[in-house]
Formats: sequence, C-alpha cells, structure tokens
Amino acid sequence: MIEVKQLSKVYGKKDTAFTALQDVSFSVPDGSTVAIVGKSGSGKSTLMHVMSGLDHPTSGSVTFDGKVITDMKPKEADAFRASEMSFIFQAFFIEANRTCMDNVMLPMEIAKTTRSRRQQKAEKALEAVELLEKRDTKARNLSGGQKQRLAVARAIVNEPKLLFADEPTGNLDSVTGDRIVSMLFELNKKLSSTLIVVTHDEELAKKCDMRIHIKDGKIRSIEEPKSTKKGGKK
Amino acid sequence: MSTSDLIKRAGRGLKSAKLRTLLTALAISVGGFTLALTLAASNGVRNYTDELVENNFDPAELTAARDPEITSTGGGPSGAPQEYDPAIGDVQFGDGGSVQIKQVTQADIEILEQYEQIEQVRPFFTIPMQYVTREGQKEYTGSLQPYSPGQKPELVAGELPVDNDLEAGSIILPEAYLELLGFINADEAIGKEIDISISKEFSFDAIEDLLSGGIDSEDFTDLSVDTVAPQEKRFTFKVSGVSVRPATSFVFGVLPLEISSEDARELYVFANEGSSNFEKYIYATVKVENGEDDAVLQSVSEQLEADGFYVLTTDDIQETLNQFVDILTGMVFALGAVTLIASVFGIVNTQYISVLERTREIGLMKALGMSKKNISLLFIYEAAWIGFIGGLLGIIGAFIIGTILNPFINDALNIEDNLIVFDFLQLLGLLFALMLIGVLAGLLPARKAAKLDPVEALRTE
Repeated sequence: MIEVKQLSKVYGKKDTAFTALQDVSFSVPDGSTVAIVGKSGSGKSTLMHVMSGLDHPTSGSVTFDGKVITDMKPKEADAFRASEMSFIFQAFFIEANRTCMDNVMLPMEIAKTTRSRRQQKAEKALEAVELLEKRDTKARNLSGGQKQRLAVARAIVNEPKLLFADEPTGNLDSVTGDRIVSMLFELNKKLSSTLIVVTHDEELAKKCDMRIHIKDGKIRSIEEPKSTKKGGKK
Repeated sequence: MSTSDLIKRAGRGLKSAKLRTLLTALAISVGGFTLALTLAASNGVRNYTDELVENNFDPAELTAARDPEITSTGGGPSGAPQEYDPAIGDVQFGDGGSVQIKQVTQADIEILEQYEQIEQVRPFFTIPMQYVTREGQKEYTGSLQPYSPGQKPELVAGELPVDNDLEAGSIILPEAYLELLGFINADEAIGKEIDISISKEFSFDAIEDLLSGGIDSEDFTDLSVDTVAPQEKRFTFKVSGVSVRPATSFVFGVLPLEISSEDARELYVFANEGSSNFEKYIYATVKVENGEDDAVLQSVSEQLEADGFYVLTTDDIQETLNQFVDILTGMVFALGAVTLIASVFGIVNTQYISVLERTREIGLMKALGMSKKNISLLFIYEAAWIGFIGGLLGIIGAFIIGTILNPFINDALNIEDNLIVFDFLQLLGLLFALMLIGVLAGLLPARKAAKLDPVEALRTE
C-alpha cells in the first residue's frame, strides 16, 4: 500500500516560486497498476520523483508499506530504492557501451545481491524480455524496442515491489510500444508488484487499474474501477 | 555496492572510452617512465660506487691529514687565509697551479706510528719519475706509487703479496708496458728486471755540501754544469706482477707502476731531500688493527681528531659519492615529478568531461539506489585505474629501454655490472604512488559526480 498525503512541492522562493505539486493525496493498493496522467509540465514527473525519494517534498509525506519514504535520510532512501523500487525511462537510459548482461547486473551490484545468484537472476530477467541471446551484445547495437526491453529487464531483475515507468513508450512506434506495455503488465502481474506509469498517453492509461489525472500540480480526478478495488486484478 | 564491483565497473567504464583512457594514461606514463628509469639508474650507480669504494679502499684504513681541506668532503676551499705554519707547503697541480696545504710532517708520522691500534702508516708522497725502460728498449713515461693494500691491483700475471706490502726490489708493471718493453706476454715479464729513472731537483743542499768541502775555481766550473743540473739515477726492479685496469678504478689514463713502500721511501728521499717539501706529506694512510669493525675505527678516528688530525674514513668517501648520486637522482626525479603534475591536470580534465558526459548514467545509478559515496568511489577508482595503466605502461617502457641500454652502457664505460638495476619492490611502490596520484586527481571530478542532482540528470525534456 502506498499512501500519498497532502504532498506539495514548490521550486524556488518568493517571487520566482513555482508550485509543481499542490496538496496531492491518494493511495495505491499493493499489486495494482496505476497511471499518472497529465500533459508535460503538469507535475507528473515531479510526483514520481518525490514518491521514489529522489526528490524531497516541500510538505506532505509518502508512505510505502508503513515506511515513510519522505522522512528517510539520503542513505536510507538509497538503500530502500535499491531493494524495493525500480525505474523505466522514456529515453531508456541504458549504458550503450556495455553489454546487455552488464546493464542488467548494475541494479544487483547496487543492491549487493550475492554474487552467486547474480548470473542466474540476470539470465532470468533477460529471458523474460526475450533478450537472452543478446546477453553479450553491446547495448548500442540494439534496436529501440530491444533497448527498452533491456531497460525492463534491468528494472525487474531485483524483483522490486514498486516499478515506475516514465513514458515507457514515448520513444517507440506504436507496435513496439504495445509489445513493451503488454510485456510490462505481464511481468508486473507475475511479480505481483505495483506498477506506476507516468504518461500523457490516454490509450496506455486506459490499460491501468487506476488513473490519476493531474494538471498544474493538482489532482483533477482519480478513476478507480470498482472491480479492482484492492486485489489489483483486471 | 561492494568494492570489487565498483573497481570492476570503473574499469569497464574506462574500457568504453579506450582511446581517451589510453591518452590520459600516456601522460602519466611519461612521469612513470622517468621515475622508474631514475630509480633504476640510481640503484645501479649506487651499486657501482659501492663497488668502486670497496675495490679502491680498505675499510680498515683511515686517511689522516693536518689540513681540513684534504678530508673535507664536498665543502671546497674555505676561502679564509690561515696563519702560516712551517708545515704548510705548496702542492702542485698538473695544470701548473698550486695550493698551500698544511701538510703531515715526519713528526706527525711518528705520532701516528706510536698508536697501538695502528698497524701501518703510509705517508702519501709522489716520486718524480722520469721514465721506465729495460735493457735494449726505449724509454717510456709513467707514474710511480707505493703499493697500497687498500687498492689492490688486478693482476693478469704474478701474485699479490700476502701481507700489506710488496717485497723490496719488486715492482708491479701495468699491462700497457708489456709490448713497449719487449715482453711477449704478461707471464714472460714476471721475474724480469726493468729500470726506473728518477731525477733529483736542483737543491741548495748539494751546493752547500760542495761549498763546505772547500772549492777552487776549477770545482766551480764543475758546479755550474753538474750540480745545478738535475741529477738522474736509475733503480732496477724485478717485475712481480702485471696489472690491468679493474672495471671499478679511480685511476684514469695509464695505471701507475707500484713498488714497495720501503723502496718508494728510498726513491722519495733521493728525489726530494733538500727541497722545501721534503718529508711533508699531503696526507697519510693509516691501517687500523681490526679496523673492519666500525666501532674500533670510530674510536681510533676520534683519538686522531683529538690529536689534531683531520680524518677521512671509507664511509665518508662512500657518503660523498652517494651524495653526488643523490643530487643527480634528485634532479631527474624532480623532472619526473613535474611531468606528473602536468598529467594530474590531464586526469582532472578527462574525469570532469567524463562526469559531464555521463550525467544520465550517474542519475540512473542514483535512481537505482547507488549512494553518493559509491558514485564518488566509482570515479575515484576510474582515476586510480588510469594511474595504474599509465604507471604500468611507463614502468614496462622503462624496463624495456633499460634492458636494451644496459649492454651499451656497459660497453661504453667498460664495466661488467648493469648500471640500470630494476628493483621489483621499488617499482611496485612507484606504481602504487602513481595510482595514488590518479586518485588525488580524481577527487574533484568524483565530488562533482556525487553531488549531481538525479532529478535534473533524468529529466528527459
């Protein structure tokens, strides 16, 4: 369960102050898929950053499984992110000069996964995104779709409880994008993790259990389908 | 993230920018090369000087002088005039100049001989030799000196004396004279007789002798021709050994002929009696009983100093030589250090650019939960890798060049032992130091990386 309570984020001071988030509150049941929908500049990325502890709110709190992320010290937040969360970005952010294997290894090195288990877990993750045969290929030689699949593999390798996807299909054509999305939803179900998709794409948002529409830093509406109140099932 | 993971990842980070890494490493390798070669050369020269001192000086011997200039090591003339003393005499240089030195007198020699711990006293004197010859052969120049057990000559034929001196009447002949004096080989020369001609300078004593005997006008004519002209006398010696120049010798040019101190003394008296410098020596060499023991040598040297002598030990000589080596090493080392400073800026620059280029990567690593400390360490390890690669390249380069150069140097200097000597531990230390320099250079860029705002770094728009 993720609880966001009265979250506000103001950049700058006094005259130049810019309110990115204003009094945002909602809660997300475990295992559900959530879309944070809004246009660019609406504050949806800021919300993701604050929820993941990468950024600090001006006021309010984010609680994840009873732990208040917004109160954590940087070190704790780092360790928490390493073990519980993961990210997928629009621009992939994979390391182009490294092999696929090396890219997938990174989160496990950071999370200090025991060495003996790394290889097996990395192979499993690559297999899940159908990239196992590319394990020793340098990431720069992959196609756009393959790159994002690699990013997905990297995101799920540690089996995080919470997965953030920031415009995961933004840089992909619709066919490839659809494939990534279905893969993402499938894996999420398999891992029974919570998926938070940040997007301006209504089509993509419709696939999620829950939609939080955001505009100018404020929540405009929350759509919560009755059939998926808490179970996270479609 | 564990240290080994960080180090590996840092290494792979460099691999993805191979050319840049190599070029930056090359800058540090120049410094590494210079330092490695300097250290190796300094090792070799030190070995060489040690050997030089060992072969040319007896550690049980001391040099005792009355003038501090003689035993001062590296100080140079003090510049201040000193009070005149009858013991002060002129010491002539080969180039025609001379310097006034307070010399060791016969009385001083007697003082030295009274010491119980002193086995032998050998005043240093020069014998103005005219030429060396052999029956039926031409006359050749040379120099003559008393045999010194501390500087045993290297023989190709004959035998060295067991005790501290040659037998009276025997001579050690340098190899260079063999052919000139008509010997077929060194062995043939052993036991043969050769002649040394000594000249006696014009002296007033000779005139006095004549005058005291009473003179008439006829004698006077004789006097003007014979007495005033330098006298000449031939001494005959039996060759007991043929010497060659050892690899480590202080003597340049033709080696001296060596005779026993007893004979040397006789020749010296003949040549110098009556002159103002007679029985005044620049210094005396003193052989101390059990002088190999530093404590014994030290106590004798202290007693001599109490008696007003200035003393120079083998250790002092070695120290002086090493001082020269140290100064030279220090100078080259400083040059190497300067190139290292230049390469430090190279690493700082490269790493800064690397941090800027990898803003996204750093942001991602932070998002994935990598701590500031580990981000910083990642870049520090990268810099250490650069130091390591550069150091290794430089050291390997120095090793190759040194190994190639050694035979040429040995050939040119006519020595047997290598003058460039690599010490594994020393090189390891150097490598470590270069890595440390890399780390220092990487500190600032690493700090920048650690401070990077992940939110800013990950912004797509």
